[in-house]
Amino acid sequence: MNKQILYISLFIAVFVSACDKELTEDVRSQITDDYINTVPGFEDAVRGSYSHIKSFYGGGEPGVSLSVFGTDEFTNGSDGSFKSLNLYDNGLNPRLSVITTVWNSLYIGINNCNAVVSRADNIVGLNAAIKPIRVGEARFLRAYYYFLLVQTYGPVHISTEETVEVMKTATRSDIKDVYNVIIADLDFAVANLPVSASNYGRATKPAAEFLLSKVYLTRATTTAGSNADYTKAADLAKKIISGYNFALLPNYERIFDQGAGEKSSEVVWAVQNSANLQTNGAGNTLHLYFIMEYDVLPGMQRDIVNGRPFKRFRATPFVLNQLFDRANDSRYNAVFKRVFLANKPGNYTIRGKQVSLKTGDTAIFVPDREYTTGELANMNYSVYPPSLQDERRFPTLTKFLDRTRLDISQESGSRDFLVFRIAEAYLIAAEALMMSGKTGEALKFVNDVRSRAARPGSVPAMQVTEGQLNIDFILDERSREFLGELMRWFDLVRTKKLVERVKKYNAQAAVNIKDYHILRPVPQDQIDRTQGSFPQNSGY
Amino acid sequence: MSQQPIKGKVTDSTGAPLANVSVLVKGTRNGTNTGEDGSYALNIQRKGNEVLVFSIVGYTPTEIPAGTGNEFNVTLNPDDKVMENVVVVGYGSQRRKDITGAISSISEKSLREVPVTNAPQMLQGRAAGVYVVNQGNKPGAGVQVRVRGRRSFNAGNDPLYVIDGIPITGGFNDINPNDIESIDVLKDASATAIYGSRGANGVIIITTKRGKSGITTVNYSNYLGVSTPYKYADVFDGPEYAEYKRESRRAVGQYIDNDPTADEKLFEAVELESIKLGRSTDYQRMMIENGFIQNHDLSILGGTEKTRYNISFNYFNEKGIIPGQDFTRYTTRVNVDQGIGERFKVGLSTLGSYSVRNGEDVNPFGGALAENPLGKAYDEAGKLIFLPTGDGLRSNPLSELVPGAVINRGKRFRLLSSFYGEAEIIDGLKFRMNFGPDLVQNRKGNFRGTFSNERRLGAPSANNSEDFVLLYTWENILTYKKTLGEKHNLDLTGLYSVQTRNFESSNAGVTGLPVESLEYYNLGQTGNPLANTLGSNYSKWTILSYMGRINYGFDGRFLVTFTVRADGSSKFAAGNKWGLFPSGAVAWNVIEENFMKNVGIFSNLKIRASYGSTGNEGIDPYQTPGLLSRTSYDFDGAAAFGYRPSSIPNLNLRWETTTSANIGLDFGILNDRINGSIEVYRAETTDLLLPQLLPISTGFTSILTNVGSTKNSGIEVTISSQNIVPKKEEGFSWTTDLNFFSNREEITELSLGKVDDVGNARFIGQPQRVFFDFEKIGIWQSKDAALAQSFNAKVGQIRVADRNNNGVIDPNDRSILGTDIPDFSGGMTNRFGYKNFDLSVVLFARFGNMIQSPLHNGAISNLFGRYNNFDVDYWTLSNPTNAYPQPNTNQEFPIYGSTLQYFDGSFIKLRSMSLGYTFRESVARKIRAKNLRIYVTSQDPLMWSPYVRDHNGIDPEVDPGGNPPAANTPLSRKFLLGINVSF
Repeated sequence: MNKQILYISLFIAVFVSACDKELTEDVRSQITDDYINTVPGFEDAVRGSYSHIKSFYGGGEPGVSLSVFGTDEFTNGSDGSFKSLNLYDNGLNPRLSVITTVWNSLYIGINNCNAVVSRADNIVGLNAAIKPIRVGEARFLRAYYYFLLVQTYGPVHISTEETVEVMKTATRSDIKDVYNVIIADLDFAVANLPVSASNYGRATKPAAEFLLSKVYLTRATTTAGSNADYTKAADLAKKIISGYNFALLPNYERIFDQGAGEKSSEVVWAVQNSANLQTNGAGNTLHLYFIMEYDVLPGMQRDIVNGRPFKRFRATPFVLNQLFDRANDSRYNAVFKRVFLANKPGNYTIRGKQVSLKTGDTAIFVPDREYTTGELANMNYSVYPPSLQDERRFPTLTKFLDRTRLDISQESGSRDFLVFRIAEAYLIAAEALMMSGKTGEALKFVNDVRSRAARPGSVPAMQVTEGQLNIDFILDERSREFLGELMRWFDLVRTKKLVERVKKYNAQAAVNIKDYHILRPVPQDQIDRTQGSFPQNSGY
Repeated sequence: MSQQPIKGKVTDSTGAPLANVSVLVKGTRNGTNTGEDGSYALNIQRKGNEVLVFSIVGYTPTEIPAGTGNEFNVTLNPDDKVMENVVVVGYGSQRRKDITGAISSISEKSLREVPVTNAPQMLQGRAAGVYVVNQGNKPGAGVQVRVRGRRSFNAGNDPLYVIDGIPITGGFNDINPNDIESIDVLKDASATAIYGSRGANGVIIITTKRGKSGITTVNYSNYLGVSTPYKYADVFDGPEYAEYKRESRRAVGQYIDNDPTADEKLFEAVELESIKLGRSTDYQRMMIENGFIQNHDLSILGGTEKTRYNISFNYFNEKGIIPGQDFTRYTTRVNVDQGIGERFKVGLSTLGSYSVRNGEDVNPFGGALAENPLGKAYDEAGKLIFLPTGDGLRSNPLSELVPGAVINRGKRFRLLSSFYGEAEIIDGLKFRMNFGPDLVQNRKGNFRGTFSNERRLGAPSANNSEDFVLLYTWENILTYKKTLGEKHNLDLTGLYSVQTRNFESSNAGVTGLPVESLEYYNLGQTGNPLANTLGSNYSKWTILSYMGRINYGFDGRFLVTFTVRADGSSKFAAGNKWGLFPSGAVAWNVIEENFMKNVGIFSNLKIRASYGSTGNEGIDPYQTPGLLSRTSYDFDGAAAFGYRPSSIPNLNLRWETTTSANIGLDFGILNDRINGSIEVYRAETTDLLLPQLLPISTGFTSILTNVGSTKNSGIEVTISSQNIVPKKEEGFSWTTDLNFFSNREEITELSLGKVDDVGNARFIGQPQRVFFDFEKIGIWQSKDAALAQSFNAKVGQIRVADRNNNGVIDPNDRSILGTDIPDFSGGMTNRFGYKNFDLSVVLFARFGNMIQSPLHNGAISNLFGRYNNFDVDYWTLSNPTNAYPQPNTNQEFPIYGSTLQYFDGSFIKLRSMSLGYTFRESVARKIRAKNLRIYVTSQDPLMWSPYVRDHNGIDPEVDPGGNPPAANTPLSRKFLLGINVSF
């Protein structure tokens, strides 16, 4: 018997000692943090730094809702959960999801950039020539993320080191300090980035100069700014216009050609998207939001070419009726679609009349004037003159339509988003020069943009004079050129015209907008989770 | 040697006849069973030394030398080890009177009373302190089990399940309920300590039926039944919807009542036609149909002295009340025990289970509720209209039911085995080795056709996912039992065990399938993999454990248990892997004392006390290293995947520890006519594994840390009473089992100490889950227009309380509205018997908790003037109600609409009512059966619930907060007819 006990004890002892190593974690399907300390990991972290910009520019509704709604350009369509951003009502509060989404994604992006910047010096084997370029890219992106933050929320927390341990504190730094961080990052980027990148889509020196010029232009009107900022903004803008191979495309409409327009002399820097569903993530979803509800009308059904009508944004009467000199300016017709051709042939009743629609017949017309009953009698299709236009029926902005999607339900579009167009450099130069009193010099840049936009034979008619230039004219011109391109709310805030122009041109928003609306509320999550106090913006 | 007839009668100690007693000639297969009157008759071949063995569960087997007589009347004495009195305690079993911990046992009789669709439901309302609620009403839906409430935020609150000695993960849904012989729930630290780390949330021990020596018995049982909806939700009909839609436009000045063309401007053609005709389409009633349920069980039990076996087969099928939702399960079980010589024993238990479930992740019901009743479901030719109205988002909910349009099919295969070998090395010293591999494979296929709401005329999409789990437990147990002198009983247990779980999974999804009939069976037929749907995964964890236990009893009066367990977990970083969890318990059998001998009223009286700690490590592996997340981008079309930091390294993570104290009292009164126990406990959990939400300015949203503590206390009462004892056989009998319990949770410390964590809605002194929101105090009325304006609100909107009276509604006006912890819960089972009839009635109730109902904060409740809505009393100028706000087409959901989703969750459910009839033996004999019983059962026939009765709630029991609204399938009533027969 004792032998048996001995055997069993031995048996147990062997297993017990053998198994302790079983307690080591076996990580296989996940990648641990130290990967970034290797050369390929470092490169991947740089690539990771780019991905966050998509969450603002086209990856879902947050960015577009925060920059297009509640301006003089666009009011709300019938659908969507973020109309409060247009109405400035009590739904625009610290718990509104898009307010939180933008904050979160930008700070996650900043920490990603911080990881690149903080670790760059300790990557064994990293090519010394590559290193400053990659750090420059990360600092360019970090500057961009802080720039979006400071414009949206005002004073924000600054962190330029990677978070490596639990931190519960945060402070709202003065915007002066935020701008200092942004400018230091961009100075580094300008000094270290190449004129053209090893991969198209990476940050370049002109892109960094472009952003820096916009940063100066913006800072100039804040408490942190001064008139010197205008000079710097103008100098940088002029350098981008003349110092490289960028040029205005001869035809305004071609800028928005899917494919060719995404990579042209017009484009200084663009957020990259592709048709590859694996790399594209949420992709560019902007194609969804500006379309009228065409698909329920006689002769129509949803298809890929006409798009999926989310009916979020509807141009204001100001844009539709006042902004464009349509006889001379090509830009209205270039970006608004007012006719839909039948894609569901059949017999229908329209305005009490039996009509037969064949594929390709006009099915919907959204004219810019009223029609008499007599005129309407000859029109065998649905007609929505201004008096019948509403939150569902309105001219459709076509800039972002995506005809290459795989099917009608697909939300992730493949179009690059043109963040920096050379035309904007012209208008930045014009604004900066005008604001620093050099209206004569400014005029040239405005007229260059207008000449390009002129309909054939209308170049002379499009020229403006020095006397016509003022900040409202600059804003009007920016609207004509960049309508819907996710910058209007920032433009209005920068020029301190938000409340005035919204009250004047956006009837829905006019009711509630107040002076404090030049900043968005800080997300309640950030306030609740911060140890100590993290003050809210006034008014919210 | 001639056949000689023998006969006799078997009675119990009171002289009552015992039926179904096995009578066997020892060493042969010759035998019979006694009849209803206890009598038996048998022919035996006499050699001179024949021995008759009389045995039946619950009594001590008795052997009688056959000698030369031909009539043997035998009295059997109750066995101390009958199931009611033997408690499985983990790594062994003990007599109930020797137990020192808090343990609830559910007997086979109770388990059999209600036909259930899955095994965990058998616990519902049956054991004090065990809180079991359904997770859904779809066929195949599981339950959530909580023993003595919650302790942990993140490390899981699911109890540990131990099946035939093998701890498993993933619940015991796969087990055939009919295979279960008993369920014991270990509740206090002393009882659970032997499972150490895994036992912090209680341990549920399931023992399956094993064969026994004697005559082979074949049991067959089945039931068939139908299910019907408990209640239809009340949504607007056509005219009500039309008016509601008008009101939603009136609210924003878009519907002008004196404009004769107002309706034409608002409604589309089909709506106008419906309004004119007074037509209303009731999609809900068009969708719901009667469900069907059936269950068949066959088991064979038997054995010889050395070999015993139990083999069973089960088929279960349920079709839900929504077409396309069904569940089918096939199980087999084989239990074999084999003795080898005098000192060795080996055995195995194997469960094989295969199930198919359709419709788990889809639910067209919500669509049916939200569908515009002014639309038309079918055209003149009787064909489904895919888009009944012009609303592009709202496809016909009935299209989802078309076979092949929406497929969501899960298949699950499980092989759970346990092998053991046991050797008695010297008298009293046993070595036992258990090995229990548990293999689970899940496979899920999804397909959405062009005519489905998800695709809405887009190209078909499909995806496949699969996972595979191997969990194995290997245990070495040494036990030593010894009685020293007359009065000292010593029972020692030592254990070393290893448990490892391996998980692998893979998934793929595509869109743009060319032909619908491919379903999800050939994803390669399209070149369009969907982003983020191509993946595979792997994880593994291991726990090593050492455990020692001493049970010491003195004279049957004083009992002491002391346990120490050390657990090492792979989930923590080096230095924090091991946790040590000691516990102790004492019990005093007061009834055994001399001074009690003359106190006639008590037949049992015992006092118990225990104190100890257990650990919890129920977190996902790989939480200690900092991890990266993949990012996607491209440079001019060339893939540019990257990585970003997604978690902060966390090497200090360690065990979450619960220390608890329990005092219990067991009593029996009036010769055990009333039995019961009372438990009082208090537990404190420290080093909570708590995801600490971080200010996002850090770049991270949260990190898992050991911070804070919670406290848990409660009382549990269990009473069993024989209200009416039959005067004579077949007389009227009535017994009642009652349990009720109350549990209090309290957060005592959080990451910042005794400071509320508002961001996570966690408050010191409050339970873990509270509903923290604004408080609705009514609707803004016209007379308060100016005041409303000052709050930036409009007349007709929800009015919330300005709690701090500062004139604005801000986050500081939020308050704790309630908690999901009931004031108390309980269950009651009444059993009646008369002649051959038996009736049982099972009630389940809980009171005083709040539920959050996302159904009331979603498409069916948003008063947006687009989707159909619950038929609520909404505000209009002429109906100045305070119930619901004015419909408004400009807002997709009402401002402060979240305040409309909190309800009193109290309910009483009549869980089942079952009436059975056992045929007389003479009748049973005609079909050569030993036993024949038929019964009818009604499940969930009645419910009292203000949430359902007054607010269109679906089922207060299903925790809606924990589920997406898609999981809401209406509660159904089931009516079943069953038969049990044994041969």
